[in-house]
Amino acid sequence: MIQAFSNLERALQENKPVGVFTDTTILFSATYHVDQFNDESEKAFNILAAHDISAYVSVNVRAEFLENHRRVFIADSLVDFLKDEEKNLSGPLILKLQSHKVSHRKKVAEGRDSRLDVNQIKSFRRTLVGFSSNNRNGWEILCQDYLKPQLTPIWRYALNQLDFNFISTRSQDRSPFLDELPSWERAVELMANYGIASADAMILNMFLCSKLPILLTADLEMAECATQESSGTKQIFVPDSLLHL
Amino acid sequence: MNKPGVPKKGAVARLRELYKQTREETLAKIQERKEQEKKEQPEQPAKKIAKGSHDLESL
Repeated sequence: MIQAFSNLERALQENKPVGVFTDTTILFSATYHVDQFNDESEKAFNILAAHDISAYVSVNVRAEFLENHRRVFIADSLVDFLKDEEKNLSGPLILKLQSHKVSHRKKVAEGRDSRLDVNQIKSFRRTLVGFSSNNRNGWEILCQDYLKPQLTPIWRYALNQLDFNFISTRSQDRSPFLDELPSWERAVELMANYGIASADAMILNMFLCSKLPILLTADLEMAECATQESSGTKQIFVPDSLLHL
Repeated sequence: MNKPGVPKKGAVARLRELYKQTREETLAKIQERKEQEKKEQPEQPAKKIAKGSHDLESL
């Protein structure tokens, strides 16, 4: 059964787990204050801190975390770029940026997902390379001046504050929390059985192969798959508001 | 084996601050650079307008 974060503290007191597995959605919401689950992630991490419980992630979580932040930072940066360069822009570029600004601000105000998708980013890239200022094109300016200084330190900040640990499969530093090595076959099976993305399947596979008894996620699909696959052997927690949406 | 890390107390609140601080620093640096570029741009010499000229189109 999927449980709400409000039951997390009791579960930790009763079971005293060695640690909990945290997926990308929870790490992302903890590090992006605009995310709709930011407050609830904060409560969950405060509970872990109070009970001295470690959080564990896999390398796939790290990759997804950075990708999510890239998509958010580019969305934010395009609005900032428009504000700074508006008087120098014209034609389709300014129209596209103005339209993005309106929809982005609306999404943020409504607490909706403000990440751009990969195709939208590629489309902005194509338009921005046509703009030039001081020997740099618009995309180079956006990346070098706006994106890079914000994206580069984000993982370091998260690691320093949340102090999470990696579950590694490499033989030289294989995690003692792994019951078995995750296999590709199992990941493909998870993808096929539930229609989930490959990254999610690899993250779920790692959790299922681990000794960690608890998963924290803000993705209901992930929570449902984990609940079904673990057949009652593990506890799955999501933000309270996700269960009431 | 090293003792595994544990989230710091108030970690998410601190992350919120770091996020805002980084964003402010990023935007401030861009403004600084733009100011610098403005200063470095050679000033356009003022055009001389001949007294009594009626050829306004060419000015």
